[in-house]
Amino acid sequence: MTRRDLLRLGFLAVITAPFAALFRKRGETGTGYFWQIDPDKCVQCGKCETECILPQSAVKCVHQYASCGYCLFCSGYYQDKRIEFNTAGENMRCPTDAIIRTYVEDPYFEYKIDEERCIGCGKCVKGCLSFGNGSLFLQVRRDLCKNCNECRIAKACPADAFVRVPADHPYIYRKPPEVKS
Amino acid sequence: MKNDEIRRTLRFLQWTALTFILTLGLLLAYDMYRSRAPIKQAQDQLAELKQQDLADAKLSQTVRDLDYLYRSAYFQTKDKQRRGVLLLGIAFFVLCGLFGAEMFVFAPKLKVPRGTGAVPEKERRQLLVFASCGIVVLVVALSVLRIVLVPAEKKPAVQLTDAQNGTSGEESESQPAIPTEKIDLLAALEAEKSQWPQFRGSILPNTNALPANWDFQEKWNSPVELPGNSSPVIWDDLVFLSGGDGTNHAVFCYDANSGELKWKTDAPPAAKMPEVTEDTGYASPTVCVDSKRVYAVFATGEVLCLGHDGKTLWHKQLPDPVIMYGYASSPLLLGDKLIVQYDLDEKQTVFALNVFTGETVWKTEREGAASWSSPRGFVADGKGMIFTAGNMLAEAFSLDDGKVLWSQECMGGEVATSATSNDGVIYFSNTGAFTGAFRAADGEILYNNEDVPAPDVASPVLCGDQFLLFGSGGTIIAIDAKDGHELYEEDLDNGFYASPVAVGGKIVAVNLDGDLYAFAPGEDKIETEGKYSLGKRVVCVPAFHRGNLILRTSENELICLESKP
Amino acid sequence: MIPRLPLLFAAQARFPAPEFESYTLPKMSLEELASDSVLWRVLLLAVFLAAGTWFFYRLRSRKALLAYSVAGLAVFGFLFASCPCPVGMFQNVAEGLANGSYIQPGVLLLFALPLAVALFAGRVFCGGACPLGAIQELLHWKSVFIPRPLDRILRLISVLLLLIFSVCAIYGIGFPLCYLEPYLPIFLLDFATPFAILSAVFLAAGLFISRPFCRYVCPYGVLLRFFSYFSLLKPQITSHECVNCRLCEQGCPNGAILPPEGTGSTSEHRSGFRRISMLTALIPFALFAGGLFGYFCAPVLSSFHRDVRLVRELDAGIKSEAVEAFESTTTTREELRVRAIKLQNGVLLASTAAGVLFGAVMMAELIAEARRRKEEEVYTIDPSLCFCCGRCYAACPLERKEKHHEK
Repeated sequence: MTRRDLLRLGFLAVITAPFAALFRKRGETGTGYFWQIDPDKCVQCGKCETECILPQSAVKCVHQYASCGYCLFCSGYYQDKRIEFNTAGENMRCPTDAIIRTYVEDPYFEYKIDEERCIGCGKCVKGCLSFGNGSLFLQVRRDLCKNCNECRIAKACPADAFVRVPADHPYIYRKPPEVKS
Repeated sequence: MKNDEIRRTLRFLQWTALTFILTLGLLLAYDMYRSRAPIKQAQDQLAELKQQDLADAKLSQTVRDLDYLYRSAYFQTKDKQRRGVLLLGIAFFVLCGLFGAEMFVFAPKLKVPRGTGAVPEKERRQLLVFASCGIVVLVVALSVLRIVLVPAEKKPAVQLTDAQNGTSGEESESQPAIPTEKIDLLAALEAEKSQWPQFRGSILPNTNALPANWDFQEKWNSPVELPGNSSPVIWDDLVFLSGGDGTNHAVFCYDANSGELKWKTDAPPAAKMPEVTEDTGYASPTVCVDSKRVYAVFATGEVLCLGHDGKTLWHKQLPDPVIMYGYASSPLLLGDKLIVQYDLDEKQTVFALNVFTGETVWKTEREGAASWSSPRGFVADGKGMIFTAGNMLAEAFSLDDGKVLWSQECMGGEVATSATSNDGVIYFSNTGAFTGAFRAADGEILYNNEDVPAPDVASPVLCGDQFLLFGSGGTIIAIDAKDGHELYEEDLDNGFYASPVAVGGKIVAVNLDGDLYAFAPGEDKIETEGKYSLGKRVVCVPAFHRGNLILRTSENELICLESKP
Repeated sequence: MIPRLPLLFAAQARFPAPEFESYTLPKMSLEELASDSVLWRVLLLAVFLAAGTWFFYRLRSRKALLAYSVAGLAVFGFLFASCPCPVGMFQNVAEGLANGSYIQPGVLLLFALPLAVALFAGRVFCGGACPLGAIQELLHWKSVFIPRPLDRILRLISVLLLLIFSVCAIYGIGFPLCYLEPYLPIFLLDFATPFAILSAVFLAAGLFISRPFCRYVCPYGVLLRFFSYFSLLKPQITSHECVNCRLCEQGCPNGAILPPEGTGSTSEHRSGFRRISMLTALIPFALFAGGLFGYFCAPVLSSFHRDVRLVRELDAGIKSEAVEAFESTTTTREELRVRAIKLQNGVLLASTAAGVLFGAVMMAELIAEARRRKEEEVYTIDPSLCFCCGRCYAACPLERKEKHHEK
């Protein structure tokens, strides 16, 4: 065996060291490679809309129906100063009219996000949290996200709400809120 | 030659692609740059317009037009840019392909070597030595430049503050003012005595200055933007009150000396607007104030806490207030807790909220039906307690943990008046329910005089050893506070909705005509010491401020009365 | 401890879920990931590397290697999302190893595979499996020859960047390489960022300077350079006997072809010895200078960290969004400050150490360059500098002749 072969073996060992570390750390969970927003940390600053490298942000509002109160007067749907509860432009919260409201049964309405139109500004999320259950929240959509190694939104996020999630749990849902008696 | 033609074509294509990329790239960059400002502008403009009074039809039309314009412009621009960018990407790949193709088709031209063969070793290595010196000089120069140019960076960017070094308390100044010290209940109550901190003044007997005489003149008169039946409260020179019209709900602060509106803070919008009758309105509960904060409860079940500067400290939504007429109980501020009696049609609860955070410290559910009575605080054995009158039960709770201390099943009907207390006895009177007294310690009923007609709106008042009931028909009945027998009865022109208050041995009451009375209870009749006719309907309790009276009329005015010199 | 303001806008069940008569809750339609796409990428990368090795060492064909570049650019640059790519993975690995956190197997494989291949077959990865390399390979028009000493000095930049970026990754300051990487705007088709200017600059430079990013900037290239120095397979300009025609010397735009090394006279030997002694004497000075440089860089680096910036804003009384968001958390200012100070001290230490290390590497490289190489009569390829582009095969008349004969 020449000196060079010996060196090569040494370097092989060096590269395999991280693999050893990998197997050692196998048990740890909760980390991953995919960016996601922790809705509990999110402060709806509006950076998701503007900072993403995509022409239209990969962050969209999602609706967790299970937590929704199906309110007649949804504060995510209507803006604070609305005078009437109708769909006239001045009463709406969403700047792009991306929330679709459908009648379910008295007095409940279903709210659905039109993802084509949603720009991820988070205005409705803020509205919902201010007076609702927080069933609307922002998430990075896996089919749109390019998953940059250094996410520009994560870098700009004032609340440090961007976390890495594993591939098998690519979304962080709101904990179903405890129902207060 | 054929090869030359191919090469020319390739070159031409390369140049075309390059020009295309450059042109498109510049155009796109320009478009993105250009479109960014107007979109942002429209966004801001819209947001601003939406904050204004949208009831104006012209304005709302403007908002609609702008909204449509903004939305269509936004998506058109984005679509255009997306297409442009995709085209640019394709062009890039094509350009790479064209460059690749040229290299693929044509082998590199063999050039005749220049010079005299390999670069002389010596020369090369000498250059290296120079270079190495150059690098070292560069590194040193960079370091020196850093020291000279950025001297501030020498110290670490983040340092321990003085507070952490244990020298001064600068840290506490920048911290938001959330006191951690426990509020001493007795001291707080003592401080409240000369203020007008909540519904019917303070819990201990009011010691406010009385007007010099009962011949008044209007000192100032300020309009109140939103209607409400809540009474004004005062801390030092600030008057606080709440108002609401079913769309907007707000707390107002006026200067007690000039009547100038200092600030107005809106409550968060309510998602569900409860149904209320006109008599009750959306802002019937009187606000409470302590040395630092104001607390308001609205008919929507929203509890709002503001600083004296009008900044929202916390707010909390209580369960939907489904109650006949509308929710109207005033909250009670006792030490570090805000007590909200929440007797709805279906469920009756007493909440104690932390005044600093709005968290529910305890809540106690009771049995019964809806009531509109406000809780009464009192102190026994140095401990804070709460008395509540509901439809069915009269109960007392411990302030610390909300445990029921005693309960009497002696109430009934629509309970709307509130209790008063003195010296370990609680006095209460409401029509159809009860007129009498409880021993505060164990709840024993001392007496119950069922023969007298009891009031149904205005809460009775205790003055000396007389317990006086002010009826909504205009009858004043005095009963002996000790045993409950009727002393005398007096009929006046109009009834009382505003609860009378006892200040310094006098009773001040306003009837529905706006006649302001000062009474002194006599042995067999009530002495009218003064009367002033405001000429406006009043249902709110007047507040005392340095010998002046501050009243809210039903015509949405706040009036300050001062004695004529 | 001072209690924080409560989260005003925390999720609360203000309105209980309604009980519907004839309505079932719709499901949230969020696409799950069908599979871990990183592992697919690793698989594809392995295929590419195998193909590249075959093209370079067996086919010895410039055309095949060009096709390899085009395919690499199409697949890794445009077809797949350009992240994760092995070039930036050293940051993830450094962060994972330093924090003891779990590193994704895909990430680790992406990082290690090109290095492992470099150990056996040189920098085949750079030739075309790396989309950054591929775009530079293809968008190169006319080579401007960079004097060899200048070339060797400029490539020290990449060593410095590797060290600085590793420090940044270890201390959670971020992944600056992925943020600043000049070709990313092209792959992501996002030209609205100021980073697009950087791409334009590098693309323009790349038209005349071969692979400006790979040679002088790429931190991963430093590792590849190091590993491929020990490469098992050695690239050879020709499998025939070299006639020293010097045609290949100008055929390589990357300065990887080394001219023959003569025996050298006694005076040459003596002056060589002097040079090396001088450089060796400079080592302590270089170490000190490097350490100083790292020490002064530290505050700049740590000022990019979120915590440090937050504490600065808090101290300055700025009411930024970050400050407001922080106020609503349960972390106290003291905890944050302690964390920031700890981080700052860590960065100071690491940055200084990195500076010293840079000084050492710099001196080692300079000494290696100042040293006489092994005697060689013919033109040879330095495997650590060769990007496996195959230009020399096309430039060598012997190879051309062989190709011609085959036809």
